[in-house]
Amino acid sequence: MEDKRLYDAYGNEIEVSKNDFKLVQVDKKIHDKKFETKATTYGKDALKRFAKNKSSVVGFFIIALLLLLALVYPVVSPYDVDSIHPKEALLSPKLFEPKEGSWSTAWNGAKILSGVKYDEDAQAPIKEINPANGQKVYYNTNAIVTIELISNKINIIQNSNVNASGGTYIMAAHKKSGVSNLYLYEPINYNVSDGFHLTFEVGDLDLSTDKEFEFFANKLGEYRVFIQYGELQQSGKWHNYKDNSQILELIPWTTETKVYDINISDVISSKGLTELKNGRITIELKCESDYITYLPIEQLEVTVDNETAMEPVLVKAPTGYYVETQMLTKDVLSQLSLTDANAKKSVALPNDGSVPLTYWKGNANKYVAGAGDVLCNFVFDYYEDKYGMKETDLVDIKLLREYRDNGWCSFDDSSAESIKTTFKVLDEKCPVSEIVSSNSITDPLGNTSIHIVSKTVMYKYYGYSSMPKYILGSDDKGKDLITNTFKGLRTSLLLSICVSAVCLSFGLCWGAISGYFGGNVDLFMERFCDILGGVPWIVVMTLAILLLGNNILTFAMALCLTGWMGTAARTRTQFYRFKGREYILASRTLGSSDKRLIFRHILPNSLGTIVTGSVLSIPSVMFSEATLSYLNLGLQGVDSFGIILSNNQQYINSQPALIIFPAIIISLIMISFNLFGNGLRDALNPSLKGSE
Amino acid sequence: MVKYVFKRIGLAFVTAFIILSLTFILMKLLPFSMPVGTEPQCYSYFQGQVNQGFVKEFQLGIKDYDMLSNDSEDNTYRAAFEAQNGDILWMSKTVVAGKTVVITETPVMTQYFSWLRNIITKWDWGTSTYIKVNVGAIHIIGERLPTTIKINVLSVIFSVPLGILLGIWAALKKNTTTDHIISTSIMVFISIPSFVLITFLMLIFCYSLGWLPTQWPGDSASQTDKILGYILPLFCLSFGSICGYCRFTRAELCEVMSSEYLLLARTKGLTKKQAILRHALRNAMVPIVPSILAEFIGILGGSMILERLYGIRGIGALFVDALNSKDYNVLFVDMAIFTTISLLAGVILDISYGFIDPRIRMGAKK
Repeated sequence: MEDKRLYDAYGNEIEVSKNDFKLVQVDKKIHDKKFETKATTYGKDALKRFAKNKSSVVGFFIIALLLLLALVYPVVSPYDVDSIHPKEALLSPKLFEPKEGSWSTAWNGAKILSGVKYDEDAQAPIKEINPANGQKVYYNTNAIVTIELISNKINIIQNSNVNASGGTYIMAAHKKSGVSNLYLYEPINYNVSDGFHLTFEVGDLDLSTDKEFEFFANKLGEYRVFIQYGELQQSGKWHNYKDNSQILELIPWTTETKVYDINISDVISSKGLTELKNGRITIELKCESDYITYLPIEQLEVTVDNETAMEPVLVKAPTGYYVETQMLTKDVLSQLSLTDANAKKSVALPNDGSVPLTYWKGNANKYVAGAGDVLCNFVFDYYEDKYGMKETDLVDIKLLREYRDNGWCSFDDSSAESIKTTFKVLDEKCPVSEIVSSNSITDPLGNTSIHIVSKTVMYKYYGYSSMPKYILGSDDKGKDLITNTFKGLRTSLLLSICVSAVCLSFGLCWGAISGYFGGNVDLFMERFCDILGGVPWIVVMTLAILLLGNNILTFAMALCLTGWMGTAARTRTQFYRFKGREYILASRTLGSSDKRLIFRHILPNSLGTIVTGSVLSIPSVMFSEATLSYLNLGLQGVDSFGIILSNNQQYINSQPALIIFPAIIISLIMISFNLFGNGLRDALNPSLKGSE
Repeated sequence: MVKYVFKRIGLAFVTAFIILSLTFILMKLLPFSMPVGTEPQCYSYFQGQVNQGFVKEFQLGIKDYDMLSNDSEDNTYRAAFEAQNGDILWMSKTVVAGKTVVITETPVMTQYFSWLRNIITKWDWGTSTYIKVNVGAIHIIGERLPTTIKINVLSVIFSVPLGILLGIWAALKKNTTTDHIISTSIMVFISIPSFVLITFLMLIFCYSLGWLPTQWPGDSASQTDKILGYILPLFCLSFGSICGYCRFTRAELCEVMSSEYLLLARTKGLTKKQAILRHALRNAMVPIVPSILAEFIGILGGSMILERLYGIRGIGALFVDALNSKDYNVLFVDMAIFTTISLLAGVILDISYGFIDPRIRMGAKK
């Protein structure tokens, strides 16, 4: 041990003894003071930096909210989106109740239908006409909120569409024909006791100034109405009177416009007769030599008091006219009077239609003025139509018994008819509020069954506790859009998170190895990626689906197959960036192993970018899935986000809400993930640690 | 460096070859579409396939043929025939008078080598089986390619200057309101998926306002319609690129602006304008230019979704059509184009990085 001596400035030795020294502290430790504040960890520091980034926090909360909605909403929602309800498809969005008398259709589930043909007899707009039997199907009048009738009557019709109606019948006589007439084709025995009435109205329609119809530019003709009667002789299909036929005048020659209501029976009995054999009511229109005369008939009707005694019923020429098919007007009246009389007086007709009907016939020219369709515009509440009260045969006896077993109603089903009379509603839950009819019917095979028509509240029938209200409408499978979107979101998020997790773990390892070792290892690993990435994944996917079936697992696997390459590439770039840094060299000089270098030095530095990339890969997996759906290769049996979007694409024009809402949600997710990812990148960057 | 470039290009070729081979083999394993019926057209289709070496044709005696076709009892005869000659795809004895034809499948590897031989010796990539029966796949692609290229080249011409200018503007006004507005809108627009954007634009401009045609105008459309038809696809394709370039340019320029050499440039007496034009922009463009180059090639692939949604008859829509109709030869050529393009883009990107920025050494060892 070297002897240490101390000298002063002059070279004299200084004696130093132990006693010259004094301990400053004896029992106190002089270590660094403990921090008052707690030491921060990497995670806490990251969290602090993340919280400072306002937009990222907002992004995070939006993601959290959507995630929560995706998890909770489908469970809480009263609407079932697991099965298909074709009858409830494509309802428009509804938030408010439609107001009666208002034409507004804003967000109330109603739509304005315009130019729909209106049936004045049934007082309902016509939905469609069965071309086979001419039966009309009407719009549900309960669901009509506001209605406005428009008549588009036109002056003179030569041709008309199906169901044109209204107007005035015009008889016209030409110069040369002298007298034109119109008569009931089938002769009837006018028995006084049957009580016949003739209603005949001549209108004051003036066509003489109508330039378009100069044909009529003449005057009202002189007319008379009489009954011709006597012996008949048959010539072919025609009945002609023998020469000794007689005439009983009901209205003498006149030009008055007037309403006649003539009791034919009185006229007959005033002549001292009891019956006119083979009587034929005839209207005659006189034609003057220089004119065309016309007679506007507003109404022409023969009625009987004693309908059952009447043999052939015949009765009415219409005030307007109904047309079954396109035809010339001059044939219309006869046709229509036939059908019209049938429809109007069906009570007096035998059911088998065996009695030949008579109709108006004659040699006068026939036109109709002022006829046309009655159209209507109306606000139609589709929700009321689907879910409101409806007369329907959907509820059969089996279902009705089920309701009875639930204790909702009571009835006696000992016979078919007794169901109707004994039906009673016991509980509000019962969909059926009234039985309209219950008959037993026998089919051609001889089985009898009970046919029930009931007034049913449809939403109860479908199993809802209250009237459904789809705030954004329902899609083409009758699923509530909001519920379905969130359910799809749940599926898609689950798929994306799983796929991203797998891709992150695998891609990280792959990229780390490839980037760290470089050289030939990198070259070969990269080429492998190139090849795998280059094989079109659609082919791989199709093969996978063929082999393993179209389920969510196959789908996830196929997405994973190429999805990890993004993470791998990102990791590789980061490793290239950091592996040449001085601190890595320093660590290597100190003898660190490859493992230590990778996991302790390079990876933490590059983690921020990699994790951010992976976070952003969650929405991108959703896009891949959506893209696949657009290519008809999507998941089957599951409503994922992509399926919803691509499926609703076809309603872009008719019901844009169906595409707008999911589009907004997916954009929101993407924006939020981007914001969140940016914040995350800054937060996870260790070089920013402690920086303000 | 030169060695790396050659190695990279050579490997790209090898990769392309392997990918195409793998794809071909995989595709031949998928169920494919073939004409049904016994019309002469079907036979001509199969004759084409025979010429290409993908199926085999047999001529049997009438007796053998009848045994083969009426072998419904236990299928032993047919099974024996198929075991020897491959599965029967089609058979007829009426299509050619006095001749029976039985078409059987050949093994996938045999088909692969026939296919390879066809391409190398005749540049024959097979014929379409559904879209245009018996027309060469290359011909069909050739018909569709010009539309796609036209739209995409226009979109690049439109988006590159706009994106870069916006990026420069934002970078020069960094941390001002202008920058915030540009950055935020870029952020929002880059987040909106392309199909959503397309959908919305179609909804607004085509359906609600009716300014633009709702479908890509066909050849018979008027000149005005044709020009109007370009607007929407151009817009949709450019939007993403504009946002991308803008973001990229802004980031690069911001980094350069804060570098020491720019400070030096200012201290030696250059005005701000001179410094930015001579030093900052040139340096910032270094990574931007290769990305434009890569993008220029990459966009040839077009947008499947855009083409599908807007009814553009380009190769993207062709891909979807071919896939849905199982017309694999057309699909294959279409895919080959996409693959080649993406590989080429990768090679160019990698090489240009190495050339332009000596700080990055691709392929360097640890």
